Amino acid sequence: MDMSLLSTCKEALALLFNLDAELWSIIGVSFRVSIMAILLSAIPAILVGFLLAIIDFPGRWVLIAVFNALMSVPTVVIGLTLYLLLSRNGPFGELHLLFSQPAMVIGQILLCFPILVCMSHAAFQGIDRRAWETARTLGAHCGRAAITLACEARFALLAAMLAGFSRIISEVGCSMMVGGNILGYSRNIPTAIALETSKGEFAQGIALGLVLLLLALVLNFALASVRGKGQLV
Amino acid sequence: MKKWISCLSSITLLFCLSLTVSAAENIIRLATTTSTYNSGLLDELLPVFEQKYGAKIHVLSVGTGKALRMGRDGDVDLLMTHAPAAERTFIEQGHGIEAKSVMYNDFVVVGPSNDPAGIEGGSDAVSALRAIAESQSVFISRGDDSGTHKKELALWKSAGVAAGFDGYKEIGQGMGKVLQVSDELQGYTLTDRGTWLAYQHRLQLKMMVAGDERLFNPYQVILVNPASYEGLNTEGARALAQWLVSAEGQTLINNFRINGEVLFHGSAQQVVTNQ
Amino acid sequence: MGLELNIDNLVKRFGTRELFTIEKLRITEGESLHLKGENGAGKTTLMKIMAGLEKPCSGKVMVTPKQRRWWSNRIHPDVIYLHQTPYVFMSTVIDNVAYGLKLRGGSRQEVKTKVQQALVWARLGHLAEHPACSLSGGERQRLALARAWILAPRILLLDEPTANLDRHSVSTVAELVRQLLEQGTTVMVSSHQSNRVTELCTRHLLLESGALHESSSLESSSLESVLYEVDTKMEPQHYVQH
Ligand SMILES: Nc1ncnc2c1ncn2[C@@H]1O[C@H](COP(=O)(O)OP(=O)(O)OP(=O)(O)O)[C@@H](O)[C@H]1O
Ligand SMILES: [Mg+2]
Repeated sequence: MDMSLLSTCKEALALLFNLDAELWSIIGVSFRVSIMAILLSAIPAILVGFLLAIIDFPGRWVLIAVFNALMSVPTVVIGLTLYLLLSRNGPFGELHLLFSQPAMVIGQILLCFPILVCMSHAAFQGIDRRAWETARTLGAHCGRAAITLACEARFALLAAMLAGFSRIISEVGCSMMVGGNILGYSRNIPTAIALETSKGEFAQGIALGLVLLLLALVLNFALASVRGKGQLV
Repeated sequence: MKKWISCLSSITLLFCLSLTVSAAENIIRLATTTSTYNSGLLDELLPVFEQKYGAKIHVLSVGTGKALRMGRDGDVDLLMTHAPAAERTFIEQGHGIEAKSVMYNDFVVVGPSNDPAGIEGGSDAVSALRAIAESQSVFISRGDDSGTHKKELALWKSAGVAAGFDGYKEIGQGMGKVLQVSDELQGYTLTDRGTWLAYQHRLQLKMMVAGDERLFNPYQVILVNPASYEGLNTEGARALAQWLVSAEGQTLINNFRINGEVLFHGSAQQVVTNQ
Repeated sequence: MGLELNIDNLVKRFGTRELFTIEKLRITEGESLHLKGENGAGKTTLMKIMAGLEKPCSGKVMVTPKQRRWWSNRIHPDVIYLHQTPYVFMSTVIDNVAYGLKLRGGSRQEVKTKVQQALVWARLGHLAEHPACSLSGGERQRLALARAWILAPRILLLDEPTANLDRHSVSTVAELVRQLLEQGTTVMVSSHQSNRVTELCTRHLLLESGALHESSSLESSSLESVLYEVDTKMEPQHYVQH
């Protein structure tokens, strides 16, 4: 019994390296859904963050506060809301989206959107106003100047994307609710971990946890390497 | 470097788009209880059906309460549950049709090996529960409105004991979790035999009471009423239900073993009586 | 076809505080102007308004002939404003210089040769591949000039191009400005010191207590010396302004 942690880890590694088909299908679903969600939400969210940073309108701080608050909504609450909306009984029942990957993508978009907005807003806020003016006076129209600003803030924006991605790749509540944890279709890493631990199959849970850990490490190292060694520019 | 990045990103994009497309097949959505799913029975049964009928079955494993709710909302095509009373209301309210009894297994009472309530080896579940309450021993309850929880409450009722004595703990989790918690807290609990068999080897709990008529646990399949919702795959669901009660399905059920032990007994020929 | 900039009843306020009112100012092609004024007089604000980067509270700035672009009619493509402390984009010197030209959509080869010319013009050739944020203050100033020069502007608004520069750098910038003037570019320089750059200017404007006065060069030089004395007593941070 004392050796259980060690032996479980060993078993987990064996599962990973033996290319266990079920395990890898779960990993595939996780990535597909989360990458899709982050790609779909990145541009609109960054745009909203940009507009919040550049346009001064009454009630701007209210909107910013709302987005900040949305960041901390529990994933199950978003999942439950979406569930009620997408159920055949709900307003969007005709779309037949419940328990499907698109539903998971929608849920994850809702989850990472506020994070992306807040973090990109902060990123744009950190940029000198002169960058915008320089771009404009050198002949860039608003859209082009916005892209220039995004380039200037690229590391902060990448960090925002990474934070959003970490939130959705590891969230269990929403995926469980609207995805339904269907094997080979909507079972992703976190829901699988939840299921396997509830079944007492700790090895698979640990194997999947290792994948998540590895992913987090890889992404963060990648970000750190493009960003330099963390010095000020 | 730039080429590299664009190559990589286009590959990821393709990879993302690839799976969401594959939803146009004959998909049957089956809501079932966690205990059934976790026993591994469906992993044995369903691929056979899928191959034969060219269908894809999406299994949603949830508590009985939620499964019935999903059926009522039209979010699944077929239900496989084991809570006779709730199923009867479900059908009476017009949410489901064509209930078929498929199989049964049974519940067992398990507990710590020192057996503070002294019930080991008995075959009367009700008096065993009464003994547990009287000795104020620890009892872990599912507390999640599942079929097992409903069964437990019914048993307390026949025992004439209010569930809520000193050692009684509701934890609101799945069967496996409840067994693990009981093991840690050295408590008694009511479990279905399937989960018990799957967990037995890593627990120190022992089987206490089994074989009581009142621990009988019948499974039914119910079609979600196609009159209530459009777009249900009733055709596929009916085929699956019929296959489960066919000779082939029943044989597979009877042949299913965990650690060499029989778990489920096909009951298509019997009539399920509500207790 | 001379380019003309006309200011008409321009008023700028920040909150309730009125910064300046300018009834009329006309700048024609090929002129060189020196804009003076104390710290906080509104020189930067005025130049930004002229470049269309900031909105006046009332009145307008007209650049004729108009060159409308579908996305904006406030910013004229031939009017370029250079910041007091230039902002350099987070990329190499070459990318910074090429920025405006790429927006105009020249061919790759064309952009390349022009950028090379601009780098030679601003004597930045040896720094071409360096990250722009590693440049010194004077080099940044030259980079900003090259970045504007490459677009061949008709009106160039230089906001304190010599603040923070040593004597040698000042004369380099002065030389660059002289070349621009020779090419017929209208140049407006704001500065409170008189130096090699402002000496090139023929018109002298003074922004003082909310109004713009035009003075002959003689008067202004005496005033300059007064201003200059004031300036030397101030801490250098005053020049660093965004
Ligand atoms: N966005 C703003 N909001 C409020 N006040 C402003 C704003 N921008 C400038 N001001 C004020 O307007 C005044 C003029 O500023 P401006 O930058 O034009 O001065 P300047 O003449 O360029 O001074 P310096 O010689 O220090 O560069 C200053 O007092 C400044 O505080
Ligand atoms: Mg200024």
